[in-house]
Amino acid sequence: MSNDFDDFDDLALGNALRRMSGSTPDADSALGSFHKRVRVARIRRISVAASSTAAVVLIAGGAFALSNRGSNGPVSPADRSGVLDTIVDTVVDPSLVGTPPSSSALPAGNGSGSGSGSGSVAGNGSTDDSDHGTSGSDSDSGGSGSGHDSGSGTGSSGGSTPPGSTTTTTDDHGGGSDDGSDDGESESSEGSGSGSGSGSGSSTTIALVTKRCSSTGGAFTANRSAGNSITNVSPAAGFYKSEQEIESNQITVVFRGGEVEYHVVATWNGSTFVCSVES
Amino acid sequence: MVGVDLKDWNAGTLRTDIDSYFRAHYGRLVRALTLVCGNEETAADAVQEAFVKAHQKWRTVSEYDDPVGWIRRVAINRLRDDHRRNTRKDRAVARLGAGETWTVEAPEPTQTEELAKALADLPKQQRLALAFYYLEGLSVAETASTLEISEGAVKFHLHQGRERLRGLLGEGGRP
Repeated sequence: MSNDFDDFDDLALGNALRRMSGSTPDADSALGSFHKRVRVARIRRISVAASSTAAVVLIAGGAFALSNRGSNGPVSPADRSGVLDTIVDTVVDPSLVGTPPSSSALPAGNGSGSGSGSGSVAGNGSTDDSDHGTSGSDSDSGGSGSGHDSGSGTGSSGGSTPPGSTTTTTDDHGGGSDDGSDDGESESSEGSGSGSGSGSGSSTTIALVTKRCSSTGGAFTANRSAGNSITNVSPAAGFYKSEQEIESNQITVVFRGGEVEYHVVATWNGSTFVCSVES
Repeated sequence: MVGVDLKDWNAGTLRTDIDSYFRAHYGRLVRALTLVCGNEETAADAVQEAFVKAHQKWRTVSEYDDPVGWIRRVAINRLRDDHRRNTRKDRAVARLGAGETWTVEAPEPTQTEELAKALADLPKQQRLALAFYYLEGLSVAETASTLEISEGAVKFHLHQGRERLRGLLGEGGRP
């Protein structure tokens, strides 16, 4: 038995098995097939890697979008008690775009040596506004008497001009030159030209500043352009607007619900509204 | 195994190395596995897949003491997977076709066909041992390493397989 286990040389069995296994396949022809399989496998690996990367990017993007959506959800006034939610929205009121009244515009000058500059200041319709804008480049054509003043001043008024407003001074074809510094107190234009100057005025765009003040009792939007006003008054569920008071620099709206009152106050601080709530 | 210096290869010689191994071992591997599974196409498919996997991991595989042993092992595993898959498929087909019986007049089997049938009736491990020992020319130790069994187990399988086939080979040892 042990001899049988140790001696396995059997020529007849080996030949029979070789006959059964058939002829030897052609390795050269199989090599082409092998290379083709290698290419296919490589393409498959690349496509799998690309698909995996794309899937990861998609999932990450989706997760990022979901997390962002959670933080930028809609604001519901009734959901957050005692917390002020303010939304500042600055829009341009088309009705306020145009040539301002001549109250702040210097009269057109005629004659030699005097030109006219337009230091027009528009803000809240009052003449006490001062424009600290600086003119841009000045050029005086001198002899022809028609100075070409092109400048733009961004109005930061000391008065009640909203900071968000933009005062645009268009080309000023006054006869003379603007010295470029406009202190607002004296709209002086010194022309050295001899021709006649005529101011062509300026156009002013005034922005509408809005701010939404919210409380548990309700919310409203405070607007300031030419004056104070409120819009979009929306009492919360169970509340109603019992009274409102609009003053020059303050708007008060009272929301009442049963025994509870919320006094929502929007105070104009010169540049924006500040909301506060008292209950 | 093959006159290729595995320690001195680089990316440029990868293809040459693999091709050399393929040319040297493909035929013998396919014949051995054909003896095991009874189908040359299936055997060739398994061997080629094994070489493709070796190509993908050639930097690692080429560092092995016996890269062809690794390829042989992968091919055997592939054959086993195919066998399991086909077995499940055959069972499913048998369940679907239960009740239908086909009777085919079979021709008188030749001696080689009888030997093939007897070989097919052997346990798979015995077939593998016979194929690698007699066809591939592996030693008992190499066969044991390839099949991941002990040398004693290889000897047992060789002995059992030869005993069962000996009757068909005739007195003179010729089928």
